[in-house]
Amino acid sequence: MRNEVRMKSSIRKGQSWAVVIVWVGLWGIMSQALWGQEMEKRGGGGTLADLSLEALLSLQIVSASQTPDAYFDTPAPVAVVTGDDIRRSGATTLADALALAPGMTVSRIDLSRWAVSVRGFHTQFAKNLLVLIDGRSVYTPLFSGTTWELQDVLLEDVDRIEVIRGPGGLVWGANAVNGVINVITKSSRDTQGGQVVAGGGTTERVFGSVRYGGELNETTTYRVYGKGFLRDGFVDSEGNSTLEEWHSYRTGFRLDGEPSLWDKWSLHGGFYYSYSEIAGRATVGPRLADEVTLSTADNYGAHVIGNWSHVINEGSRLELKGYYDWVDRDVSPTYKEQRHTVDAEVKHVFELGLRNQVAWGGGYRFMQENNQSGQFIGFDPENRDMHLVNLFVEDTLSLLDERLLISGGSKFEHNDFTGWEVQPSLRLTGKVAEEHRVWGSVARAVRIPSRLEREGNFLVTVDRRGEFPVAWYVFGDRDLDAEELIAYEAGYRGLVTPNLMVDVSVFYHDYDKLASAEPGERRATNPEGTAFLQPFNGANLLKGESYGVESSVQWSATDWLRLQAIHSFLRFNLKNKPGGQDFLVLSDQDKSPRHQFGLRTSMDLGRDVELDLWGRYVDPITRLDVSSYFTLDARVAWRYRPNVEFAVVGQNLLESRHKEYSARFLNTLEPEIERGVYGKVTWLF
Amino acid sequence: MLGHVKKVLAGIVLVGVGATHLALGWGGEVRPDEAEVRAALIYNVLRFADWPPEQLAEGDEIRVGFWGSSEVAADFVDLARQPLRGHAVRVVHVGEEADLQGLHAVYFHGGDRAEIQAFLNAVAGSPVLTLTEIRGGLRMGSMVNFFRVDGRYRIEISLSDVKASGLTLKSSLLRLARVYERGKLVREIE
Repeated sequence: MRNEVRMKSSIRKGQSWAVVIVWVGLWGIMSQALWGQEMEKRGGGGTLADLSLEALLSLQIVSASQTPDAYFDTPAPVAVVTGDDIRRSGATTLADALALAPGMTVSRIDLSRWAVSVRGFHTQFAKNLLVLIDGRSVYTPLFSGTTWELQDVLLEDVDRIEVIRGPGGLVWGANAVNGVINVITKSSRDTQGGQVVAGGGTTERVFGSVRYGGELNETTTYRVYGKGFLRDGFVDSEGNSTLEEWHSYRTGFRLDGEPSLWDKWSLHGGFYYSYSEIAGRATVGPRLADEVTLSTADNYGAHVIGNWSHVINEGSRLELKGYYDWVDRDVSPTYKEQRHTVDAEVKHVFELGLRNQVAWGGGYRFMQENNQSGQFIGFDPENRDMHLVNLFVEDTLSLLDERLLISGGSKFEHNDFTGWEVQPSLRLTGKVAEEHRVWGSVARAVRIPSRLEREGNFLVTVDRRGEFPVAWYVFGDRDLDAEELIAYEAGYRGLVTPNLMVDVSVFYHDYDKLASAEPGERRATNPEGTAFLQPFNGANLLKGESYGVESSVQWSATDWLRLQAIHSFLRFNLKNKPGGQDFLVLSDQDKSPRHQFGLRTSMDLGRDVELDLWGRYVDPITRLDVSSYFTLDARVAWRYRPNVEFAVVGQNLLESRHKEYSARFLNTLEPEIERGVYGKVTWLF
Repeated sequence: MLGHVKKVLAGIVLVGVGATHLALGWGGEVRPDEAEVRAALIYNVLRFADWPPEQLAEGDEIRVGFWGSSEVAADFVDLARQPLRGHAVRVVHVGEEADLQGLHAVYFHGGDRAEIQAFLNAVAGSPVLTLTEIRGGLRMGSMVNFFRVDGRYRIEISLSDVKASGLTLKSSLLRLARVYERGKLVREIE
């Protein structure tokens, strides 16, 4: 096995250098050939003064990064993945699109599951990363994490994905410990008319969507959409198909209105069904027999979100938001989950004198869970109601003629498990020059234990290394406390030239009271003594630290060539506190790649052809027997008519297959991600 | 270990190639930058302004002052090569209060707030169109203030200050702006 890994690794090494050479060559040829054309073009054309005032006001001012400039002053490591970035990357899922952002670690586990994390704790349920879609939390308090296979939108409707690395407790509350992901869809005002997308390929067997947007009256616009896909499973390490399948259907609507000069509202909703299969080895009965099976997940979900904002006067506004979310999952034979969530939030922003901007507000969330314990996961009690209340206040003070912005505040949040939690933060931004910012911050964030950690139990794995099989079970602890983080961050963001944006951040995270799994006494589970149970009990006996650097360089070389390079480095150490003997959770420290590189080039070859290349390098995850890998995705699109586009996308082109992660939870198989190709037609009407 | 180092180096090479090309194409900018857009906005707003005849007679040049932003001024010089409603345009760099003499419009951007306040006080009530891009600009006495929402420029206008100075702004400009009279919002952006 080790030899195999080494051999594959050396093949990859050879391929890696080949890619570098090809890439360098490609850039060299393309740049030099097209540079001449560019110089010619610069000679002619009209000026901005020829534009009407209306046109000027509708012009979005973007820096080299394509990042709306509001983020430029943000005293936090923020990355924005725009809808256009997603379109040109060829990504077909939200999880894959997140790999475009610096500092994100995205590993595909199998057909329908991903490990998505920021700054460590890189597991399928990355417990420290909060995810919101249009303000609706999709982080499940059942496991502390996000089930990525259920999170989907019409990718063409995504306005942007904001990735905020580091703690976001002040704004987003508990569980925004290592980062926050905000998926924000476009207003229906920006998606008027019709759109039909259809395509298919190897892994992306067949997919399609229809969307239509129109005006209800002078002040209200709408859109409706439907989408569906069928995806095919990957192969195991022997090259045999895992026989997995995943299909999903989704429909939704959005209404946006501006009834008066001061009011804006939106109402959107959606419904989905998703069926996926996971190949695994089921361990059944007290004898812990080993059988290969396909477990299935039948998922239904629906949600409605309402937003209203009102301008009270200059510098003062009121925002109201509410949503209802329903999820019904039957993960056979593991467990069943049904959850209803109702959430309401209010926020008031006003200016206090010329120097202070104050934001304050609060929110309430009610969650009702009806679960059914299954073969591998149990809950006691199975049903539960939970309440979450929060209040927050934040002041942003501008000093030295707005060259120094200091913002400080805190969130005060009450949950049913650990009571009141305080999450303060202090951040400052210094405007060292017109287009150069330095920032720093200190913040505290907490993670509330999940239902499973407090009131559940689950099978981790069946250890078959000894004479008799041993089932490793983790039992929740009703006294488990919240995990704590104090984070120190600093960074620089600047336009080195009008076309070159550099963003670098460094961080140090100090974790305490991390949930651990303390080994208990092993006991036989049958009278013959041929099968055993190894219990692990929940406690808060781990602490840890992590530090690292995240950087991105975005260069708009010309109006037809754009490049983005990203890099992240992470060191992550966990250790037992006095009395702790954990080794299960402790292993999380070795499940994140240390270095990651990404390089994207987007080229407009003439008016009608786009060529995009996206390469990624990821360090090995030795703990999971995952070798380092290079991947390359390529997209070629041809605009046949102004409203018709054909695109061909190749994914993971460098190898026939590679492993990105290994989720040994519940003994599932470990598929390898295959090379894939798909074609796509987009028709606008 | 050596293999690992090589892979990291490979990544660095990929980034390095970007840097090399960057050096080759340092001046390859075509898309409008912020200064260009600001300059074009100022030019456009001036198209919609009318000065009293004794202030701007036929054949007079329109004198536009810039304080604090040489980049915008430089871009404005390029735009102002073409006459503005039949008047030649002259760009004046404003360094001290005396430079305000004889100006038809002046643009303040960045720099010291107190200093801008002093300049605004110096021209208050006279027929000089004051333009700013500063938070709370209208409350400081500016007539036209630019601000940004979601990366797009917006205009806010203090109509009472414009009227008090004897200037007029065409309704087609007011239609595109958030308009205040004596600090009260009277018209939102359409």
